[in-house]
Amino acid sequence: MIYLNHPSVILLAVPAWFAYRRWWPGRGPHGLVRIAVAAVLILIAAGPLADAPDRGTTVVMVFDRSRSMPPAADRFAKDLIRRAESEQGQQDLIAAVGFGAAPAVELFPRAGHPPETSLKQIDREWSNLHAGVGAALELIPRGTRGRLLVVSDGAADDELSEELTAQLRGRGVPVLFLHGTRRSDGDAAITALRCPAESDAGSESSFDFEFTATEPAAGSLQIRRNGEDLQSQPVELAKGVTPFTWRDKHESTGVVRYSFSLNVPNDPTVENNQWETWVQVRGTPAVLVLNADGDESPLVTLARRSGASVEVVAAKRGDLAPERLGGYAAVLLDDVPSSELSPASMQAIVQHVEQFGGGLVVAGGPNGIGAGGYRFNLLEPLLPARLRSLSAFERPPQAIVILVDPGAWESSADDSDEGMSPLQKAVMKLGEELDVADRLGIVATRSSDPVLMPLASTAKMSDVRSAVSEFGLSNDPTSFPRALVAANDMLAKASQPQKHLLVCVSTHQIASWQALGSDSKLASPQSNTTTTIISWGTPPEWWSQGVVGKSSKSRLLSTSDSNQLVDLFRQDWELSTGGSFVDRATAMLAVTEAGLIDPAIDSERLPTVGGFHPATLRIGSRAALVRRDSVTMPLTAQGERGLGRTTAFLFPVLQGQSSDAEWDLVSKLLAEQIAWTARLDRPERLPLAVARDAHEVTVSLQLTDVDVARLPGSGPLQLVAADTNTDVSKGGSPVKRSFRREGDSLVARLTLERTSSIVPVIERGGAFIARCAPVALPRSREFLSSVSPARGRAVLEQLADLTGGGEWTEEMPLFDAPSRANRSLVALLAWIAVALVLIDVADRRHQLLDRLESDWRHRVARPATSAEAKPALVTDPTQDAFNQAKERTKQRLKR
Amino acid sequence: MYFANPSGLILLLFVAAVAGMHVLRRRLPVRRVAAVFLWGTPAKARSPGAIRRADLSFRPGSLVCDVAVVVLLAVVASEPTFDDAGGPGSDPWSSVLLRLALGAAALAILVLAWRAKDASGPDSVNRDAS
Repeated sequence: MIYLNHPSVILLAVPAWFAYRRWWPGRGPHGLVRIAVAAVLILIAAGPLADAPDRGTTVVMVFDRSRSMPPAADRFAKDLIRRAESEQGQQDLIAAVGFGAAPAVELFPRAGHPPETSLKQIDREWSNLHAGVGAALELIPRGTRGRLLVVSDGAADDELSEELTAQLRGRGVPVLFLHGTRRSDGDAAITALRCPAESDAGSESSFDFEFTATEPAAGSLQIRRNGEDLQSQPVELAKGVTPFTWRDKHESTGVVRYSFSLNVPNDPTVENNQWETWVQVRGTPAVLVLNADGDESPLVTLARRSGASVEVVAAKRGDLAPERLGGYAAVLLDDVPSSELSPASMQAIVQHVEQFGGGLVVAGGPNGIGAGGYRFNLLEPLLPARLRSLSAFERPPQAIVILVDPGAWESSADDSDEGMSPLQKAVMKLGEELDVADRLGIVATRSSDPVLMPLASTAKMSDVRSAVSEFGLSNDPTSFPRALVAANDMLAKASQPQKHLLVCVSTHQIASWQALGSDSKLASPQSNTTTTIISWGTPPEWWSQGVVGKSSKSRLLSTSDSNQLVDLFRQDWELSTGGSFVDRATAMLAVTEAGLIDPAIDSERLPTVGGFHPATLRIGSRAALVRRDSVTMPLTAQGERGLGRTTAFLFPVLQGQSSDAEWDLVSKLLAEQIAWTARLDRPERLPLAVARDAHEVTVSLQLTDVDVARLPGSGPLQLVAADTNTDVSKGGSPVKRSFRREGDSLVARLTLERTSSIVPVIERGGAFIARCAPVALPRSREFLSSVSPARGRAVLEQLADLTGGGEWTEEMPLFDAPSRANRSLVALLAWIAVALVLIDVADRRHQLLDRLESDWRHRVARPATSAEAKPALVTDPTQDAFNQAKERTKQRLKR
Repeated sequence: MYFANPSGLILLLFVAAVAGMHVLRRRLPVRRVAAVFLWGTPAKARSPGAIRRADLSFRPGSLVCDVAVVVLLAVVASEPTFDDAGGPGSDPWSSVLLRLALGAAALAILVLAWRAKDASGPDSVNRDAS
């Protein structure tokens, strides 16, 4: 059935007919084409429609995933999707969008499309409702029926834009909403806390709270300091606002983290009962020494001699949060292996030095620096000296056999770089590191001969390249035991005094082969052989508890980052060769900054150190002590990295056999270097103030008490705010703000957008000036400013009103009932019109219709005329051919 | 504004067909004719050969008109719709007026082409040729 949306438009045919007759009449088929074109155009304007099958409804559910939603919101969302799937008709489509800081499609209408949430996580600290609605609208195809069902508390961080308003009005997609709110009765909260951001050591700070409660209640305030429970204070809450004060005395300098938790029974929203704040305690600058056991050591004595207040902690137990580190002038790593520092701790140290302007002193020894696996780790770029491997003259040659299960690393394959997988690249890089006296063998788990490369020198890298190119060919993980035997045989036959077996397997294989964890051969096949097992993914716990894990000659490493593999291989090899620590006594020589022998220090009186780490100075660094037998090799190195300073003592800081006088001379030198690194020579305290008001942080510098011109650096002062969540290894850079003069102060402002804290640092032209106390939002921003349920509902109602929607209740259907649908015929008629125009053009240019008419007449009319003409021609056979032609012409003219 | 049926823009391909019909000439069969008319007056010397030359001359104005008509119809076929045009299935007057305007423009341009054609008269040599 065909309908016209606007049949009255057909009346235009009347004036069109008169216009045709008057101005553009055509004869015969020409006229018919013109009339047809005009008729089709009038029909198009009338909006012709035909019956069409129902195309269903697209329902897009928009879920608020922010923290402010009730705890059951996620479960409700799942139930709602399940219900929609059960009610879905054949032509209906379902989609789901979740929003927090940004919207993410959780369920696409098209089946088989993976959700966006599989790739990115929703930041629940924000609630950008309107962005979520805009994203959901895009999922409904234009011209189809659809609706949005928004499940939210209406506490939106973004505004309704004009663009979205126009879209909502124009699309005709109704917005239905379900207002989800938390129960407010019985709610208690910490609404404000006033306390100083900075305080002096030995003084007492007052913490003035403001509690609110919807009804009287009794509870307690749990207080934690630096993550440890301090005390619990009973609290009586009246209806409305209840003030409360607590005091604490600051014993030592540093940064203190206070966490407060208000515990009230049956509180429906416990998230707004939390409050966290940082207080920086000023006093004698403190340094943090991390060593093996947290006891006194010669380096601790040196640090004390430098004039700093010293805190000694065992490296494994140290709280290396970036904010806490900000309270120390410098961090001292006393012969600490990198395995005792977590990646997060190393990140914190890097950030402390580069972005917070802190100091780092690294002291060597048999466990630290190169021997501690510092090469190729996060801390290495901070060191003022570049570590180097030992040559075969400085250590015994080594035979290393690499046993790989290439199938285990397929998931990490990346053919983009030189056509090699990360595993192949790692083996190649390791081959380049080896000395000509070393030998490398490669064994793989494969069904044929497992030996890819017998023990050979890596002088010819082409052999290594051809061996690694065979990874994966006829790979057979079940042949692992055979490959292990082959690897052990190779090592047994090796003539090198040091032997190392490097095994690369998958967690999968470890789990499926229980014997691996307790394989005594693998743990220590020979007395002079060490073993390292690197697994892809985290190995099972039982495995590290087995023989291999407990053996002193075995190391268990795991990674899930294919790019880390190259560094893991090289680090492991470095450690297996003794970690580039030369355990040999060497004499010291004092030099000036220019590298000349320091005439002020009698080098003969300097002690002999028990060993050293071979290294070369980096550009811009300087050495005060070098090896007497190799003056290009520094024993101490100092340099600047980012805003901070670093110093390396490339020898074990031990008195050893040296006399007190000798040790005293060198310890004075070293203490001076610690003082330089920790900036103890510049104890000036700037009149800085840090204040937070909601999300805005203001840092002000009182000009009446400081001469800005005398501060280090040149150019204008800048505030650098580094987020403590920044991944410095990936190049995260801090936010910079300029200071403006306001009265007697220089003021810079920042906005806190995340829950993580920031450490404001003042610098000028790249020179560090001062570090402020850490500042952070006291709790999740979703619970900082409370939005009343009525206001949230108003936001949702505004969206619904724009689109003709309303509140949705669970009794209402999700989809529209199937209805009669129409299909527009405008496109079809337009095609017909174009066809007619083409005919018309062909007629005007090439006489198409005339030719067709002529052909038709020739075929249909000619037999009749020739039948009539023929008798005339034969009537007078005496006529000549000329007369016959004249006759034919006359007859034709008559027609 | 958006296109409810963007596939309608495929009709723009027919612009090439229209241009082709305007630009390309049909190769006519060679006819041997008497040359006596060359001695007559030019007015009377109308022959099919003369007609063909006039007919196959390239007319840019006509080409532009025909191309414009095809473009307008392609736009009509793609069903331009205003954002405030309401939901699916609705056909408010804004869309009707747009279609009407496009259709009227197409017809007006066609009429121009027809009138230009008719200006040479129905009895023109062009018609007589066939």
